[in-house]
Amino acid sequence: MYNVICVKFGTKYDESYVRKLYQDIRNLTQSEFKFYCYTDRWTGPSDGIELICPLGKPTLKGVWNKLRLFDPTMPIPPLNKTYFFDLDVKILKDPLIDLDHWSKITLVDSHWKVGKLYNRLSNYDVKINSSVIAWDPTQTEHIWQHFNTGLRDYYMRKYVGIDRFIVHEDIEYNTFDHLYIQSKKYQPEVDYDANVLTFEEIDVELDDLI
Amino acid sequence: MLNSTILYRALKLSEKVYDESMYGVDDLYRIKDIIHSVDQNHWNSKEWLAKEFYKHYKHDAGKILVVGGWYGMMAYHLRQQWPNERMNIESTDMDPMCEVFAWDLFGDQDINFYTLESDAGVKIDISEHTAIVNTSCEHMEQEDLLSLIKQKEDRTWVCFQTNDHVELDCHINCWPTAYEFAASLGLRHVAYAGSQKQAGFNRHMVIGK
Repeated sequence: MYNVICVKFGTKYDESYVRKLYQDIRNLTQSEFKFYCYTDRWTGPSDGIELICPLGKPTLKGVWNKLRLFDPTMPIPPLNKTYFFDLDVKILKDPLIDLDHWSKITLVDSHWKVGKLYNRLSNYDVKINSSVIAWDPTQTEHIWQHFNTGLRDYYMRKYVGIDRFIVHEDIEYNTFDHLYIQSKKYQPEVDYDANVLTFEEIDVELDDLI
Repeated sequence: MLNSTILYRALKLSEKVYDESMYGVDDLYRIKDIIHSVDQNHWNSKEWLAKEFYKHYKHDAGKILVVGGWYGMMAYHLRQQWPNERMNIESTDMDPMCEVFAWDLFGDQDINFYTLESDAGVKIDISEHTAIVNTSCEHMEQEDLLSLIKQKEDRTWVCFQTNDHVELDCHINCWPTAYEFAASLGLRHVAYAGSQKQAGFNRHMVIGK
């Protein structure tokens, strides 16, 4: 059994993105899973989707709510391997694969980011992204503990998002096999069948995910 | 007018951070953070608090605690208004580097800088303080601000600033007007509520008990 979780805070994406993600995974996976949405607002039907309300202090905004997934008080069964998907990804085939290693979080390798620009010390850029994350909840409490300290506010000033926090705070990670992911912007054509299509750096409408 | 000595110290501290980054702690962003802390916006807003509060406090002695004091600029401006050592000024922050850098920038100002454990954020002993100052309210939970007010003695002043700059991820407690901010605090007496226009947003201040 897998946990599958998404995060919906603010108004950028509405509930239809969450329902689409849930339905696509349900239609394409062979694995048992329980689907959760960590959200600050929900008004419509949520069949098959277990809603998790904001956990309270510390109050986080935007992408930083993704780090809350590693908070040991997040009410998901900790013994299940867990997948997170951004709401702007398209599921192409069964995304719930059993990885070789679960002791570290697994992230997307942005191997298309080549060039000196991405190696500059001062912009803290990184060559991974968290459009999809996989982890064992019993192995990742240290990520939340590292973030949730007196330096929390400083991290949010220093880093544009959680990807830079993870890499530059030396949190260990693995990356998905390149064949698992296709980037719409950087890999418009590929010669393999990816499991997930990501839309980083592109404004997405729901129709793009159908 | 920005103080050239403070600016020079900020430059030398930035150099020290850069040198450290070469073989020791690699944290170049601290340079930008230090520069932000001494920019005109922060200078103006903290000087404004110190001068406005001075009109209401009307004593030369006491004990002021600055919460969320960052690298010490607010405490510095308070010392300029109360140069007498009978005014005890403390500046705290949860970020341990704030204490380190504050001593470098303002170590000659008779201010005590120390680090507050993040878990102790609402459990400071403020029974002996005559004023609590906080210019970082936009970074803090509303319940923590209310907890400070609840814990303080009735005679203790509070001087709180927030802003309406909601775009930043670290700003979790912004308010559209000073009056709404003041109303949210539930003070017995509001001596002052006003706003200062800054580059692209407004800073709001409330002084009361």
